[in-house]
Amino acid sequence: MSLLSVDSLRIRLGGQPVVDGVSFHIGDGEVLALLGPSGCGKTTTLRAIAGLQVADEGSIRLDGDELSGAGHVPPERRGVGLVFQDGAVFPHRSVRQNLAFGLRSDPDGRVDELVELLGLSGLQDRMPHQLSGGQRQRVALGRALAPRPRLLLLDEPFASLDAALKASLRADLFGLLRKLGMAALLVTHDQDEALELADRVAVMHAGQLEQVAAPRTLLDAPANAFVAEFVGGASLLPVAVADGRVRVLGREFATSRADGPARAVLQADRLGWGAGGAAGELVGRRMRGGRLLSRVRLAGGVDADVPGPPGESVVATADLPLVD
Amino acid sequence: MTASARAPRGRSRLDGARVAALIAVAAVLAPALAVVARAAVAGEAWSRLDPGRVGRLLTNTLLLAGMAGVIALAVGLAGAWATSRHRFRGRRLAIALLLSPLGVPPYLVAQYWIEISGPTGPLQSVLGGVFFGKLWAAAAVIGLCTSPLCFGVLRAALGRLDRRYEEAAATLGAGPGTRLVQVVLPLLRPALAAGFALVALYACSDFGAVSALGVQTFTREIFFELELNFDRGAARSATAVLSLVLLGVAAPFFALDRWGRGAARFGGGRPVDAKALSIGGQVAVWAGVAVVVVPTSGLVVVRTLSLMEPGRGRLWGKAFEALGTTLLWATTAATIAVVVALLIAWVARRRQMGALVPLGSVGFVLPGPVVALGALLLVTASAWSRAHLYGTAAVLIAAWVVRALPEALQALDAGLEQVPESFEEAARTLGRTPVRAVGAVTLPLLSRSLAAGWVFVFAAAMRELPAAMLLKPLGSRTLSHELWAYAQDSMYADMAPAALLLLLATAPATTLILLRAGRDS
Repeated sequence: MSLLSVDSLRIRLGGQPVVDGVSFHIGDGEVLALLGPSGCGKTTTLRAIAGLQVADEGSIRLDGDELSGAGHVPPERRGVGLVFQDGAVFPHRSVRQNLAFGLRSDPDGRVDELVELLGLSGLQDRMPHQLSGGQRQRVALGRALAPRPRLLLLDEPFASLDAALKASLRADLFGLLRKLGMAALLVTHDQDEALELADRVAVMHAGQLEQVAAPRTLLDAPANAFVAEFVGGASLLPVAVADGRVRVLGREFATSRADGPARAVLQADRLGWGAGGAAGELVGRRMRGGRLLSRVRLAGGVDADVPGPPGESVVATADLPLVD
Repeated sequence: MTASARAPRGRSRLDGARVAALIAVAAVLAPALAVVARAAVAGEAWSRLDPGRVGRLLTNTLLLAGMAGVIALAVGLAGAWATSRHRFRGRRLAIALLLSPLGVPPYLVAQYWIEISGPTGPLQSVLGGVFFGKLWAAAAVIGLCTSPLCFGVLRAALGRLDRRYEEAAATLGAGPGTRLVQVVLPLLRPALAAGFALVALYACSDFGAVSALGVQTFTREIFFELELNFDRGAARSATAVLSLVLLGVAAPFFALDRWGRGAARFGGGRPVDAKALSIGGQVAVWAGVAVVVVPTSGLVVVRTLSLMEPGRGRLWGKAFEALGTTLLWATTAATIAVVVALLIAWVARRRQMGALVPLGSVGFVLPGPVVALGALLLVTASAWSRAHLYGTAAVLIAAWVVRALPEALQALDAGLEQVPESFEEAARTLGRTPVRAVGAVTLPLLSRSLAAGWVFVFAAAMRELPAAMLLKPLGSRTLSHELWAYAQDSMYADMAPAALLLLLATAPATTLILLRAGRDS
């Protein structure tokens, strides 16, 4: 049985359906990322799981206990930890007092343990305004972990940090969650963050889930155009499948798709420069992960990011995923 | 290149602004300094101070300030919580009603408490004059009348309070009560302190309500000493000593208010969503509104109208004459105060002289009789001023400006905070002189703050009582003085025309204040 199962969740805000029939589950010790553009309903879903938002329909079960529906369980009786975007560390309490907030008493030195675990030694008696943004976020994480929640919810926990800090805190969090065997739901709009941290990623769009899969699967076999474009950052090139085969950018490969029109997902990882591909016009360039990508406008007005400086023509260096 | 050549062209003129602001602040501080100086050299008056009397006044003043502060905080917090955390039919009306006591002077409320419970009053058989001479009655009048100050401050603070603090507490197992006590109230501490301090400062400076109810406080005693010995300079030393003690009492409240305003605001995020209120909750809210409104603004409006008698042309004539005089003086005072406040606030923000704002707010700790004493000391200091200023309306108007300047300063300082300096700098780079840059960019953006400051000072001047009685030119009376004179002789029916005109004259100002407060809800 799953630790958390969300089933047909529906939430309307101001008359608009914000969460529109969402179902997923999280297993013991699993980290699931809820990934989507802003306004897609992912934070509302998280707030419903925390009990901060009352769901209109559907069920939210934690360890088999129904939390939603007729008997809405208030957040203080759910045993779910929550880390907010910029921490919401209580400004009137010291680090130690923040960490201890959720504990009735601390006989076995839980606070000291967390101070150690989160690298906050020496800062116990500081007030939040005396901490850096990264330290504050560690306090927020420790505070949520202190009462040993059954599930940890993370709402864009790195969004207000700068790039370098984000990377190091992300790595620390990854290690920490695995070490504790803590099940977590990470809400984010950052593809890299989701793919890097999560065991599985649920892609959300306009209140609905588009695909729930392991990171690699999302890239290799996106369920639809939205997932391909949002997760892979890819553009789509119309192709035709004939006799179970498709030919695109100088490469021909087999596909299980039915014959007819389809679109090839132009992921930068699977493109390169060579002979026999499609010619294009250089329209821009950008750096990504320390690599130069050339933005090339192909015939038909489709833009593709291709690694390296422009060469003769754009070719596919591996089989490309296909979507409708 | 020499230093003077490097300085931008407008620098010297801006230094002019600085000098002008310093002169303005010095002028505002002058009455207080005159009182302090007189008390400092009054060695003999100190030795004649009756410790028993000072102790009694101290106890009464502090008890009054504390009790009024607690009442206003409790009422203000309950009202702010009910109206910012809940949705119900008529919420805007409830907000307006909770602010409505601002529209009636506390001395009028106190007079009506005396009137309805007194020998000729409709509730004599029930109340039997229970309010007279009672400290708790004065605290209740002042606490209820100033509760809108706490209500406003706390509503604003609750509206800014990021909902995630309470949500974080909830996910950590804290129930509603724990969240209120351990998270909300500590985060509201600055607002609670500022609200309490405002009410306590008002209680220290109140003359009318305590006089009507017969409670002895410093301000009341200072007024009567001044009135009795108005032309005897020697007696002023003793009054200056008493005033200095009062300044010492009020100063900590002033500091508390400054701290509350300056303390970090933990805002930025979304406030907690308002919840629908149950029927029982709605009944409780409207009952609470009634507790605030019925004995204050409601009583004043209903009783003023019901005491009105037909005819009485002569009374109305006198009341209208007083209205004309007061309107002229109050508009002059409001206009001067806004100009002075703009100058001080602008220099404080743009020329890094932040201390000018608290210094210019000295009126907060100067009750009307003390300002009057300071003004008298200054005016009688030289033969020229004695001949040309003594007994003129200019002295009273100046006293009103000093007394009400804090309100205007607060409005303009808050307004200027919203106008980035880069706007003026952009205008400068586009060819405007410093003065024209302020005129072209800052003033239009400040129009609301200017209006708010003007309205506050105008309303305060219109209803001001003790300084008006002490400093008015011979042969004229302000509207407040007019109605007070009748009330002192228990001629309440004769008081009604002046009271009605005062309420009507300040009604537009009050409405504007209510609309401002209602808009952000």
